Amino acid sequence: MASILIIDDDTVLCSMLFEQITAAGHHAVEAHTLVDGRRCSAKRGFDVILLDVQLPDGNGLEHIADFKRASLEPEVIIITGQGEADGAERAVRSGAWSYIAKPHVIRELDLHLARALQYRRERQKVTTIPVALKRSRIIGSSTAISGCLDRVARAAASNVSVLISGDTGTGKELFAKAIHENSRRSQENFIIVDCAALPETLIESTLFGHVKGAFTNADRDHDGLIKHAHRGTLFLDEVGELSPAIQKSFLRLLQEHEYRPVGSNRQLFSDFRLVAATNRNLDELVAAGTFREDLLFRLKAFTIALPPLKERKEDLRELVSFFMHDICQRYGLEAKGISADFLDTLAAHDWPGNVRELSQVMEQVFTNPLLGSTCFSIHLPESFRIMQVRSGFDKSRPAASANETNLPHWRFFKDRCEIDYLQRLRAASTGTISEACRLSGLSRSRLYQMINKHGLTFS
Amino acid sequence: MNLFFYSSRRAACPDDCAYPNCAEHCLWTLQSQSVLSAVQRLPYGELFPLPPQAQLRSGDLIIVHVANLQELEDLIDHGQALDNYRLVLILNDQVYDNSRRYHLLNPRYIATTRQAAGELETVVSRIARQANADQTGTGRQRSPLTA
Repeated sequence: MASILIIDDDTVLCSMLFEQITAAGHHAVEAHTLVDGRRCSAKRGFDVILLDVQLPDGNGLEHIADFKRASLEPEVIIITGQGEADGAERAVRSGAWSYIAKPHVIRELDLHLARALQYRRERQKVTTIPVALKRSRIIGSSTAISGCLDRVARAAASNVSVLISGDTGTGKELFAKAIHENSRRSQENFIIVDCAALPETLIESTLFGHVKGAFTNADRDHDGLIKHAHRGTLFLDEVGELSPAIQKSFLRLLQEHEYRPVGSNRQLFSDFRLVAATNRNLDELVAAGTFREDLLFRLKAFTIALPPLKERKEDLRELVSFFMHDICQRYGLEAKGISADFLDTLAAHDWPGNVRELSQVMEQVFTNPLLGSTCFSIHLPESFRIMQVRSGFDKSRPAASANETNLPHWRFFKDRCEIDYLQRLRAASTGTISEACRLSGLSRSRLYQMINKHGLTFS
Repeated sequence: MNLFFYSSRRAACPDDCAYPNCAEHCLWTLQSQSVLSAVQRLPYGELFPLPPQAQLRSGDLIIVHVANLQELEDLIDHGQALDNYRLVLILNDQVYDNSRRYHLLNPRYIATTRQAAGELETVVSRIARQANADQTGTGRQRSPLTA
């Protein structure tokens, strides 16, 4: 039930509006002058104020800001007999929610009121957006990823259910975690439910828990994940994989936030915030009849669509640096340099497995026994290098056989080996030419020739 | 996706130890299941830094046996490095009941030491199937762990 103040000197219209509003189940108060209206507004808070323009003691449009500053920060709907474009524009510029011409007010009020009240409900959910977003392991500053982070911030400030969609490997779990870590629930648990991993026989006891004696081997009470998620965030990963029977159970859980442990007669309550993720098109699943439309409606109150890596290749350099640092820490290795040709080769790939594929490729680079102090494209898996070599050929030439394409061009291969050797030699000799000559057996002139050929520096 | 088993301490018992909370017993029971027979044991002690010849790769699944709260806290200290892997936890009942901090490790599934190995086998098979489906879609190598 909302509380509404009507400020209009037309007492007949006031009474009609009062009847209409109270009949809709709201609380209404009448005032016939600006002074009365301000007095009522100061005395108690209102959700919406219906404000006439021409009042005996002034122009309502000039007082919109004052009314909006009152407690509860009400929405102001202007009602006036002088329906004209300039007045409507002035009302909106003054911060009014909307503008209704009096001849239509009885007919249109319900719609305007419903929208204003719905907006207020949503606004109360979204309070303040965090200034500094915690974005652990979400790497990149491209427009695409910044847009997603903006939506993370908005989701984190509210309590609405969020559906994260994106291809495999785009980082759906990281974004779900970021929503949790930036929300008011961050001190509580972030619970992952891998919907694809749980068979129907296990899902109920895993989620709802069970009591002693509920089934064979249930020799003690066992709390479920829904209980663990109380005051925290419940993350349903691969939600598109839920079976129809479990979808029904979930729908009930999401509506009531109540559940019953297996074998128990008691209903329990859990105040969790829901984030779900999928790499499938749930609308298509609904159309195919394999996913409940009412469940989808619950899940997608707020959506975040993650871009594939091929649409944000400007983030490659940052991602490569991050993964390199991460791998070096895990393996206790020193950081490596990254050559331009390494990044160029990565940029030429389509990345169907997205960021996860990139992290796995980086791991493969580090297992390459030829890796020195700098990553060159020759250290990448063979498929990458083949692609680069192929891209250098004229597309109109007949395709070579598979055996031929497995071999890089000799000059290309030789150059990469020389560069790698020189990098390692530089590290071993700490950049001293005479020591490098001693270690390599190369003459000083030959060494300088090779350094110049590859555009390297040696000091 | 490859499958590994990790426990921080080796118990001084035979492989067929019958004590349900023992890591050796746990591993022995898991390896008796057909799908889990391929499970490889990771070295005891500190998991990180990994030795250069380690077979563990991003996206692999590690079944982690946690016998007590101290072991749990040690794992949480390595939480960031563990983010690269899929984790299934096998917890002692007391750990499961007395702490909720194991959720900081973002496990894909949490079992207790009393749980039937067959159930865990089903869960691991399904995780492997999903991982393989993802990899097949990207043209990468399939895991040997296909149920």
